[in-house]
Amino acid sequence: MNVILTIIHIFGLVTIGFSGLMTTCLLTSQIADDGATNAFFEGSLITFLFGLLMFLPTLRTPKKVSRQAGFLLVAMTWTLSPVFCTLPLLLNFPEMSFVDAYFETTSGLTTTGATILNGVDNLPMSINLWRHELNWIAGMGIIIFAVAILPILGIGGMQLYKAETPGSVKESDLPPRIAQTAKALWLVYAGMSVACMIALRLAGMGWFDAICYAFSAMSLGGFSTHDNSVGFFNSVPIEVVLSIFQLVAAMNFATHFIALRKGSLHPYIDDTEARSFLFLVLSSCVVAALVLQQAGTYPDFLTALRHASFNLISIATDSGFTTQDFNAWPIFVPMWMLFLSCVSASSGSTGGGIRMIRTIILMKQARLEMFKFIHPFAVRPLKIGDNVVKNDIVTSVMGFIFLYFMCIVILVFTLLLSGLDFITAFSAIIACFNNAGPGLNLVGPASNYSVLSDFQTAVCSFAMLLGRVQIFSIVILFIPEFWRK
Amino acid sequence: MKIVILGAGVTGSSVAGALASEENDIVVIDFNPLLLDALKERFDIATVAGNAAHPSILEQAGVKNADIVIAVTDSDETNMLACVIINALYSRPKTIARVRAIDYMKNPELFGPMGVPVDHVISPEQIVMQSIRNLIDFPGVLHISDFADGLVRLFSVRVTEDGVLTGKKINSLKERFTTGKIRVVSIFRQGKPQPINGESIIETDDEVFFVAPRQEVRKVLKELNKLEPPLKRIIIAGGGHVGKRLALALEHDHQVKIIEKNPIRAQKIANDLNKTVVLLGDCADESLLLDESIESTDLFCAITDNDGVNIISAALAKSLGVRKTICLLNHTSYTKLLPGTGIDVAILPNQETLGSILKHVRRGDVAQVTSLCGGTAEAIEAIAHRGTGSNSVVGLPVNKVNFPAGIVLGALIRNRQVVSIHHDTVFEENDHVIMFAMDKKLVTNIEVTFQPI
Repeated sequence: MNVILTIIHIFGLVTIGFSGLMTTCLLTSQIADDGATNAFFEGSLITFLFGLLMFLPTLRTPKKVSRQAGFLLVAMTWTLSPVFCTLPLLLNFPEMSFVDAYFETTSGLTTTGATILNGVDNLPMSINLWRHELNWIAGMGIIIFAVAILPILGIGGMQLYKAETPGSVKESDLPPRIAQTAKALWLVYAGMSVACMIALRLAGMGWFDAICYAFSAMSLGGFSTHDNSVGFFNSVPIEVVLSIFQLVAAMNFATHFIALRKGSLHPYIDDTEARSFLFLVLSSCVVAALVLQQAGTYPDFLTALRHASFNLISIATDSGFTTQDFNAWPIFVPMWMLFLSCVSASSGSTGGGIRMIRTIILMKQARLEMFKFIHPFAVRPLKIGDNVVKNDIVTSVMGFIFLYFMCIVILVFTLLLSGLDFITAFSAIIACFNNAGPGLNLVGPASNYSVLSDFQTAVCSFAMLLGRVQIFSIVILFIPEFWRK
Repeated sequence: MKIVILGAGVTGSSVAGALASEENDIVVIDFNPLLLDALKERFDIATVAGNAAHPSILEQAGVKNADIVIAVTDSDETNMLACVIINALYSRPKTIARVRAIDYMKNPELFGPMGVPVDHVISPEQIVMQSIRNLIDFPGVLHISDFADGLVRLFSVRVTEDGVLTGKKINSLKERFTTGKIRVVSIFRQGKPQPINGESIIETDDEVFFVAPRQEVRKVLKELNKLEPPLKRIIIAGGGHVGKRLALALEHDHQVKIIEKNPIRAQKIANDLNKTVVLLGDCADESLLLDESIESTDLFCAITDNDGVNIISAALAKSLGVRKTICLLNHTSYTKLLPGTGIDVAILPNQETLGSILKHVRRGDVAQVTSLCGGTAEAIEAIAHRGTGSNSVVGLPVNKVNFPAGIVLGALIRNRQVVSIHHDTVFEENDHVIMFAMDKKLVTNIEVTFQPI
């Protein structure tokens, strides 16, 4: 019983935090006089009261969270927070269904960036800010989740975190305690967001758009204040600034922190993940541009390179901005983009998917297996840089990948069963599961998820949640042993 | 001279043996009385049983009056600590310590003025590794060692029946190598150094020692048709200290496999090595060797700590078709077993280590000693000084210096240049002279003529 009370207590605190976040939108709404003031006022009040109701009566419970409670807390935070966050939307648009609103806020809090809203250009300013704030706060949450919570839950354990920070990013380089580490990474994240904001302003955006896009770019969320996404601006400088910051956000923030503190670029060179990520994404840009030019989609190579790069980087980093309707491109390119969204983002970044480190571990493991056919007596550890990856980590990565594919298969079949065509179902699940955003066909860049039925929307919401918490933390709740004492 | 040796292990006993036969007072400390008793039976030495890093034990061994302390116990830490204690309590003896761990050796300042007070640090594994490396770089030679910081090399080749050298007089070789910088310094016949002069004739199966400037070694080998194709594919048997260092040094430009039978050790070296293939198994296991295509391997290096395993696995590898084998032998006497096994080269770590210790023990100003033929013969690099005595070589031409028979001049280095030696070449102050002594008892003569400052 105590366990439940402790969880409720902590979750109460989180809820109060969200009500605080709503008040910033309340103020914006007040200043802009956009008509959403009431919705935010009521929304934040209700959220605050609920939070207080959970927080105060449970003040005396012990503050120590067991591992089991930790899993519950993670599952609860990611599934229930979006519920409170729907309040401003539901109060402002009475005709909106809860499932749609929940999809929208989940998409925000998992930094997916898929939307069911049509005509976002005409939304009240404060509502748009609310969506982007969700992206941004979730980005922060994800970094802390990856650095502080996952290790405590033992998903790969602290070892996985260490294994995920190879090369120069060793323990000794980061502040020793988790709380300090989290704070340091927060600072990097916040600082980069400000930098992104200023860069976007200089590239020609208005202040409001600059803030919103900086929020959704650094968190690799991908929400937009325009239906046409970044295509609305049709500006090369803006696309370049966003591309750079998306690439930065898809690298390990621990590497950024160390690079900043040492004032050198060496940590990036030493970071196997960052190297592989940049190589894979940038070479893919060139290949995609060549394909588009050959297919005659764009008249010249430079135009093709511009559009291919921005959209590919955006999808590969799991951000999800678009400038072109890539649904109309030769199928190779969008499919390759979706594939990249599964593998490219680094651990300790705000991106989703399998993560580069797991991809590298698996590739090396596969090579190792073949090596052992040739040298049956050989002893060879799996190494990333100079670090040896322990066998139990490799096993846990394989377990993760299996679950990852099984989840995708089951979810795609569920959508197929509900009547969607294959391309739509497959791309929607991939895009949601990796927290990328737009898919293909019906849910392609030219349209959005509003065409889906309530059931299909709910399935997609679940896919986003599963992908965001790295599968284990939610799937474990369905295992009987979890509930046995 | 009074010398205290800490540790009666393999190195300790061979150093004790080599030095005891040179009229030194030797005391050996070890905490295993059995080892000490065995040692006392073989040599005329004193022993003390106990922990070599305890002041009372050191006191008992008479470190107070010792000239040199050689710390070669199994533990790096004991060796270093003993040197610290000796420095603090006595400060008189010169200290030589063996340090194996790469971690310590990586930090040269550790043995600097502010660090551990050791006068000379020796690292036998490093020395052995280096000599194996040299053999790999110069396939075809039996022995090779550096003198004068690598300016000059001493190396030996085996004379084959149809070879260039068979039946030649040493003088006739001089005509071939006209520069006067390449010299034959010794001939080993059936493992024993022979007295030589210009008229000596080289026979089949002799081991001929040359001294040559570094860059001419290859030329000489080519001239003698002794330069073999490079050794690219290498199997190392034994993943100990030497094996691991060797693999680390070779893995970038050679294909290296290493066989280790202890699973924990195999795992550990696999973690530290990058390209090397680490194999878990017995290096004398025929099927393992065949699996790893021993027949197309260039070199099999048997360097486990067990001489028997080394001989057997190297002989097996040779019979399975490996091109060349190197075998490490801790017991010098086992070299007698090698003829007939097909093993090409024997590495004698004691001899290598002994050389590195001896150069600090020799009385003259000696820069380098290489111990040969189980320690009876020596190649020595001495620095000429005028000193106070009247019998210094400085100022005398070569033919006026009364070198005893059995000492052969190899090379002369002046101001870091190799100078060719003729009968009228005059020795100058600070000349580095590389000599070959057929019997190390002759070295005393060298010590007198090349005095310390």
